[in-house]
Amino acid sequence: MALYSETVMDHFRNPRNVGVIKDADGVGEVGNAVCGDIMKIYLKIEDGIVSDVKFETFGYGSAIASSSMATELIKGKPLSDALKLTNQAVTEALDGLPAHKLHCSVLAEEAIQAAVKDYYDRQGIAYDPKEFPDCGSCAGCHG
Amino acid sequence: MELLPVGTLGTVTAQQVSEAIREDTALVTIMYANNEIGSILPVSEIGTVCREQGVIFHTDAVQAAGHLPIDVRAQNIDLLSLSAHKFHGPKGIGVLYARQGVPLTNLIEGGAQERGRRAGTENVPAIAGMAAALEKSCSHMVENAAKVSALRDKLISGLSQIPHSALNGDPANRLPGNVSFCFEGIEGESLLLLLDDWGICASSGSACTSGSLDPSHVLLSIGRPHEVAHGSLRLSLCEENTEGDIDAILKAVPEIVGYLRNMSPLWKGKVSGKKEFIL
Repeated sequence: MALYSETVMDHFRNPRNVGVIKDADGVGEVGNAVCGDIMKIYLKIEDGIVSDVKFETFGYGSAIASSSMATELIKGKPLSDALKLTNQAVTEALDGLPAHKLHCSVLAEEAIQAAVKDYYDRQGIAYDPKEFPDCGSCAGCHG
Repeated sequence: MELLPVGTLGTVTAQQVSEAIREDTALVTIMYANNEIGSILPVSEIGTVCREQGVIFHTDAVQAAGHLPIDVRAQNIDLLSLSAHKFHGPKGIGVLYARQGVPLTNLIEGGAQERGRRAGTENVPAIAGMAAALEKSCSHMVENAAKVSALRDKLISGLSQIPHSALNGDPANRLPGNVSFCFEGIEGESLLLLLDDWGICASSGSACTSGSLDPSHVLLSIGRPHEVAHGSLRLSLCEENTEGDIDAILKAVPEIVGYLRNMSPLWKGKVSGKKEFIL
């Protein structure tokens, strides 16, 4: 049963950046236990760069793999790039996800956005709230 | 069609069935034993109720056939389904037993096979394979059930040591080969994928619903909340399993559950006291 690509299985079996950043500059948590997926992203920001990122995830293999890949894609990148990370980019980097697991990549995108929003809030940096949709756009939970 | 609610063990009582039967009830159908949580239903009592009230009684005995004693006459069973692959027979073949006199409509028209009920050439190799497998299972039923139940109970007792876990289904009146658990704070698919890496084949809900994101309707109906039902594991044992297999499972599952809990924000929230434990 090849439900997942080899890349998904690699990131699921050997997830990168699992854990907690105790003195994180921004923390974002999305999803809920009823749906079966929760993602929490911790960001460390230095000079506008994502100097470190960690995640904790409750969910499917695809949710853990999406978290792992998403953190790899933003680590060391400017915050503005992290904010632009799309679920399509995560899915492509994972060599695809089954249709009914695509929402996991959406959660990864939203968790990063939530962590950036938290960072902006803590720093008192102004932003356009429209850039940060609530978790609720995900059809996997709310469709 | 009326669906009867189940209790926390996933069973219905003969009294529930008796009260639900109406003048126009055409058929009562009850699983002999549940595929996901292993609970055995009171089929004999329900058979009596149906016979007394003159209603045809069907049982889905797919999980039971070859594993539990079944006597269609003594248990007043009018119709019974079974499937060969559940007792080491070939896949893709099964039986619908029908007591003589039970009216059945034809399933496939166009030929005289199976008394016109199901047209088309019979799959003779599969039929013969099923019969041989059933004969073998039934002739070793008592010793197999004793052996497998002992393995099952060892596994249940070992898995019960994992904190915030719970056995699903009836602990006593249970299929010999069924072990079903929920582990709080983790998601079942991740557990399955990692068990697979340890060479352990298991399932979460039932195979029928693996394309769905919703947790098992069986676990929800016995009162498990969604988040707990997401963390389910079903292990099916047979007489070919060994004590060594059970030891291997009891090494793997606690380790994997611990690993997944360690990266689960849901679990961390419970440990830190921000969220309440359910199990």
